[in-house]
This record gives sequence, structure tokens and C-alpha cells, in this order.
Amino acid sequence: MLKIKNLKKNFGGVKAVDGCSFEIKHNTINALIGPNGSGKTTVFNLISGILKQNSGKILFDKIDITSFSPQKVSRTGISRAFQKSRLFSNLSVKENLILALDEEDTLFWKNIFRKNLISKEREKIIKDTLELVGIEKLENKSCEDLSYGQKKLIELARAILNPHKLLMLDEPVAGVNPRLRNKIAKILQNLKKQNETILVIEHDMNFALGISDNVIVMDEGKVIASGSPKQIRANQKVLDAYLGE
Amino acid sequence: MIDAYFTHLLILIGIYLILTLSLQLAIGYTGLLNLGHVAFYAIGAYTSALLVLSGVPFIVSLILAGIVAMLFGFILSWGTNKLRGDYLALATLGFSFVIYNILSNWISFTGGPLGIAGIPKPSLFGISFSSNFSFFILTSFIAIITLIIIWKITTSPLGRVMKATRDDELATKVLGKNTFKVKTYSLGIAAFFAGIAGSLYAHYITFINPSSFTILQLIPLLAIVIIGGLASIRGTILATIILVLLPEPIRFLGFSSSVVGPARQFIYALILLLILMYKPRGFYGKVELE
Amino acid sequence: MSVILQLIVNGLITGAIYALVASGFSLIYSTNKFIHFAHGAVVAFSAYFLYFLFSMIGMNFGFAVIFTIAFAILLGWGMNVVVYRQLRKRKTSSVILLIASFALLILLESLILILFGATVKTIGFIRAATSIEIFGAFITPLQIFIIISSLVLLSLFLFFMKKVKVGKAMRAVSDNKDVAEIVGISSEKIYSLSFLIGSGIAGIAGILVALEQNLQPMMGTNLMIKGFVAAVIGGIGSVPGAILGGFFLGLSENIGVWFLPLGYKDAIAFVILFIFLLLRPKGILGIKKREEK
Repeated sequence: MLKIKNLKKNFGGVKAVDGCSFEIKHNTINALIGPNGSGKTTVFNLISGILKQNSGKILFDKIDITSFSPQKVSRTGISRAFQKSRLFSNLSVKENLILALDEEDTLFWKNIFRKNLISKEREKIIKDTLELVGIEKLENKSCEDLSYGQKKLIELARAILNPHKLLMLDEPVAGVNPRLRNKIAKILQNLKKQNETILVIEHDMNFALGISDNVIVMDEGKVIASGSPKQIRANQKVLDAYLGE
Repeated sequence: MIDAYFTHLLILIGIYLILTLSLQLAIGYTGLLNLGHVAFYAIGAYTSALLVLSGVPFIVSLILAGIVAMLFGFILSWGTNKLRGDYLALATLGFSFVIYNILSNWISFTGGPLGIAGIPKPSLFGISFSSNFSFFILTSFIAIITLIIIWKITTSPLGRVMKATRDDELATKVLGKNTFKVKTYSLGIAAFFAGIAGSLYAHYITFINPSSFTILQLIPLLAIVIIGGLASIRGTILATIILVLLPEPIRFLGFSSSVVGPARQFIYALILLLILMYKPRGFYGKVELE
Repeated sequence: MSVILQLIVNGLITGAIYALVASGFSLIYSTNKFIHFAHGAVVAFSAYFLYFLFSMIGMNFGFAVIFTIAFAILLGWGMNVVVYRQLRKRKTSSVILLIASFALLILLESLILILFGATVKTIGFIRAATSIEIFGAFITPLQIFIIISSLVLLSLFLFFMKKVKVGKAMRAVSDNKDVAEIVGISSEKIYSLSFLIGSGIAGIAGILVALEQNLQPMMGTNLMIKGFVAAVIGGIGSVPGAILGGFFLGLSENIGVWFLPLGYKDAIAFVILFIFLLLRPKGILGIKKREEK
């Protein structure tokens, strides 16, 4: 489904991503792991269209999305959650989620005389999603007032609601308590049962290796290993990368 | 006598309301620090004046004034799309200066520093709106329509995307929205109404020249938008009324007319500063400037 | 040939003034990280203050100049203490600071209009401006003085930024405030200092403009826009850049006027501004944490 070919990205003299290649297969949960500074989030930003690569290709369902803008990447079917949640702080939880669902809201004439009513269908979808992440009561709360954990869940919910074929989550359980971590793990596994494809960046090794079918390990901008969790656990190169030489 | 004076104030409030509501759409709802609003006002005024003086009916000239201003709004949006916060402010301010410069120098077209005189009062379907009172009715009518349209936009799904763009443009893009289109709509609509306000102004005062459209004229608008509270229509209306009326007593203190003008701007600037320092959310604002 | 030389000479004179305005502005921007619009008002008010002291009260010119520079420094420093510092305490964004500085600009310009009226004024200190002819171009002694003194001043300024300890501290704060604070540099003190120095230079610019040209109430806004354009051309946040930008702008305006009607001189600056804002790679604009496509 997603193919990264020899991706390179420099910032001044720093080679953040230095020839990175990997592949994601349909209906799998994948984890992108590696020590701090190995280039994981940069790869996400390159895929999302937020950064422009220096060289290399990104193919999604055979389409070359390398130079797509963030809007176009999203419309092609990749939905992304950020590490530090980027919710719309002056809007309510409900509004944040509707924005993900509504694909016609930038059409002028259709909108100017249309009331801001959310169809019953969509109300239900939102309710269900909030139930899914376990915070139904917060629909109308302003995002400014949410706790860290709640924000992360809404960020996740919003990414899920954005129509997609691939879900990319950047550290979905960072700083989150163990109970919530398990809840999110279950949510992701359920999503996979519903035929979804997921790519996760995560520092929590247990979490990452626990839920994924395929693991990609990066260090210093390159992929140093990939395979099943079992294979990765036994891989010496990976241990070296994390422990340092 | 007193009647005429109050009617005059009400007309001013009406024209200002159109300007401030449209500016609020751009700044408060979409997060575009558009300091070029006065330029659209000027473009509307000159367009309408020139058209009517060439024989075009008022109602057509009014709408065209809005449309021409809107086109400039689109151009400005296209030019400033990639700019952030303070750079956007500077660029739009620069745009204001360019327009002022052109209006002052293109003498054959705009009359240069002398401007255009003898602009007729509006006449619609044969009725002439020459009395103050009738002009007040006209202005109020247009102001109310403006209010309704802008309110509808801000409460529509499009308005929601505008607010999202204001809060976090990147996150909005990542959700698949074309934020450039959204920003362009916002700036274009704001410019449209500023142009309409300009037309009303031109046909009310019956004489326009570049000195009515310097950046000094921006300060009351900016003050109103911020003091009323960003993204608050209620606040904008209240602040417009209060701030238009507030400096009026100066007129009765016996200063010469050349002092009254700058004194008004001084007061507006001072109030804006005080609000920014002590109560930045203004009356009803829920949004902080980012 | 002599026409071109004359244009260049004129360009250098205007450029010198722009460079002075731009360098002070750039110093304040690079350390404080917001656009201090009211900088132009400091220039304008200094010019009018000199007019007040010299032409209205009749003070000795030398004293009037000294008092004017002191006034400019006090004005700039005052704005920082009364307005900006209060806003900074509440951790406001640079956008709010920009709006506040815009309000300050209008405040001061309205004050000028109230106190001095709208008519154009001149300071008749150097009455008979007998031009000297150099290679076919005409230049007055005052104009030579302007170019030379600004070059000297700007060189001293650059030397200060590069070699003197405090100047280096200023560059540290402009590079990375948090790291600078860790090594013991007080950013508030540096902010104050940038306003002192920047406004002092603005005062000098105001004096030179008053002598060479004339005084108009809107001159502050005008010079501020020119100063900002110069800073953008040279690379915003870079003081040497602002100086180069100032001369570049001065030359462009004067050479451009040869092709355009005189009134459009100001428009040249704006056109250059838009060209630079449009074409510059987005990564250089402001201080952004992410580079964007």
C-alpha cells in the first residue's frame, strides 16, 4: 500500500533522513521505531506533504505522492495524527470531529445558506467514535479545557474520522497512563479487524512490538532492520542502535 | 439641527458597521491580519464615484464597487498566501500604501490629491436619497444585509473551516481542506463589503480624495474589531456604536477642525493600546490573537 | 554619464538615511522578535523635536541636536518600558506586539498633527545650500556630511555588534534567547539596550531628514515602511543586511524615478517589498519551527 524509496532529507548540514526505504502492506499494523533523532517524525512529515524531500519517492497505492501538498495527501487517503496534538483550541470537540468528516465545507454557495446542522447520521458517527475512545460526555467541551490524555484521544478520534485508507499515528500513547495505553492498543486492533491499515511511531517498545505485524527500525536516518516483532526483538543491530555503541 | 447631527452619526455607525463586520471576518474568524482594509474601502469609493459620474445607475455602481474591491481582495490573498502573522500584516499594509500612492498620483483617472467632487446622492428606481434621513434608511438597510450575510457565513460549515484555519492552518490542511481557497473567500468577502461601504461613503460625503483613505483611518476599525472581541459579532456591533460615538464630544470643546481629526485618531490609538495591555480579549472575545 | 552619477549620488544620500532607519529597526527586530512599527514615529518625533527646539524656541543648534538625540533615546526606551514590557510579561504573541506598536505609531503621529499641524515645515539651519560639483554631479556639503556620518556611524555600530561584549550578547539573544539566558545574559536588559541604541540612531536619522528634506506629519510611517523594506531586502533580522538594503533601496528609488513619474517613487519600495516577500524561500521568513512546502 505504501512504498518509501530511498527518501532523503537534509536540514542545513544535518541528514535527518538518509536513504530510507520500506513498505507497508494492506491491512497490517506497522510500527516505526528507533532511537531519538533517527528521523521517524521527519519521515512522517515527508509522507504527509508537510516537508519537501531532497530526493526519493513515496508511492501510495501505486500513485506517486512525493510532491503532494498536505491537503492532497489527505484526500488521497492518508490520515495523520500528530505527536503533540494539534486540535483547534477555540472550537469544541464536536466541531473538531465534524471538520474531519465534512468533505464539502469549502464549497462556497453550498455553504453560505446552509445551516450548520450536522446530519443525524454524522451525529451518530461522532457519538460512536467518542464512545470508541471512551469520552462520550465531552462533545461540546472547548478543546482548550481538555486534559493531556483527552486531547490525545480526540486527536486520535479525529484522525480516524478523516476518510482514509492509511492511518498514520505519531506516538499515540506518549505520556499516557497504562490503562489508557491498553485501551488505545485495543482500539487499534479493532480497527485492523475492520480492514484498516495503520502505521505508528512509538517509543514505548512494548506497546509497539505488542500490537504490530511488521516493525521497521530506523537509526540515523536509515532503516536498519525490518520484520516481525519476534525477529526484531532478536536483532542485534537493533539492540546496538538503542543502547549506543 | 440636532436631528441632522444624530442622523449623521447613525449613518456613520452604519458605514462603520459594514467595515468592521467585514474586517472581523478576516481577522477574528480567519486569523488574517489584514491591515489593508482601508484600501478596499478606497477602491469601492472611487469605483462607485467614477461609475455614477459616467452615468451608471447607483445600484449597479454600488455592487460593482464591491466586486472590484473583491477582485483586489483575491489578488492580495494570492500574493500573501504563504505569509504568516506579522509579515502578512506588513504586506497588507504595504498594499494599502500602494493604493494610496496610485490614487494620489494617477491624476487623469482619480483626480490626484484633489480627488473627485460633485458625487451625486444615490437614486434608486427614481427615488433620490438626498435627505439625511433617507440616506440613513439606505445605509441601515445595507448594514443589516451585511450583518445577516456575515453572520450566516460564520455559522456555516465554511465558517467552521475558517475558524480552523485561524486556529491551526497546518492541521486544517492535513484534514484535506484547501486553506488557500478558504482564506481567499474570507479576504474577498471582506473586501467586497469594504467596497460597498466605500461607495456609501462617497455618495454621502459627495466628495472624496486620498486623504480620507490613509492608514490613520485603519486605527478606528482595528480598535473596534479588537475591543469588541475577536470573532464576536455582538462585540463588534457594540464596539462600533461606542467607539463611533465616544470621540464626538471633542467637537464641542472648541478646538479647530484640524485638531479634531487627529484627536479622534489619538483617542482610538490610546484606547486600543490600553485594551491590548489590560484586557486583550475585549468585550466578548473568546479568541486570543495568535 | 553625469546624469547617472547624479542619480547614484542622490541614491546614496537617500540610502544613507534609509540605512540608518533600517539598522535601528533591524536591531530591535532581531533581538525582540517583533515588528516595532513605532520606530518610524521616533524618527518623525525627533525631527519635530529638533524643529521645536531650534526653530521655535531658538535654542543653540548644537544643544538642540544633543537634546533631540536624548529625547529619541528616551522615547524609544519609554515605549519599551511602558508598553512592550507589560505585554511581554503576559507572554503575548508577536502579532499583538505588532498591533500595539502600530497603535503607538498612530498615537504619536496624531500627536504630531495636533501639536504641529499638517503644514510642511523646514529647518533653516543650513540656508544657502551651495552645491559642490564632483565629476558632473552636484552635492551639497550637508549631503556629503550625511553620507559620511552615516557610514561612520554604521561602521561603529557593526563593530560594536561584532567585537564589543554587549554587542555580542545582543546577537546571542537574537539567535537563541533561551540559550543566552542560560549563560547568564539578561534578555530584558538586552531588549532595553536595543531600544536605547536603535532609537538613538533613529533620532540621528530624524535630524538628518529634517535638515536635508522637510518635516511632514506622515514622514514616520513613510520612513518606517522604507526601513522595513530595506530590512527585508537585506534579510530580516540582520543588521548589516538592513544597511545594505537601505542603500540598495535608496539607489533603486532614485534610478527608478528616472523612468517613472516622480509621485510613484514611494511605490517602488512597495513593489520591491512584494517581490521579495513572494519570491523568498519560505524557510527564511520569520522564525518558523517547521519548513513548509
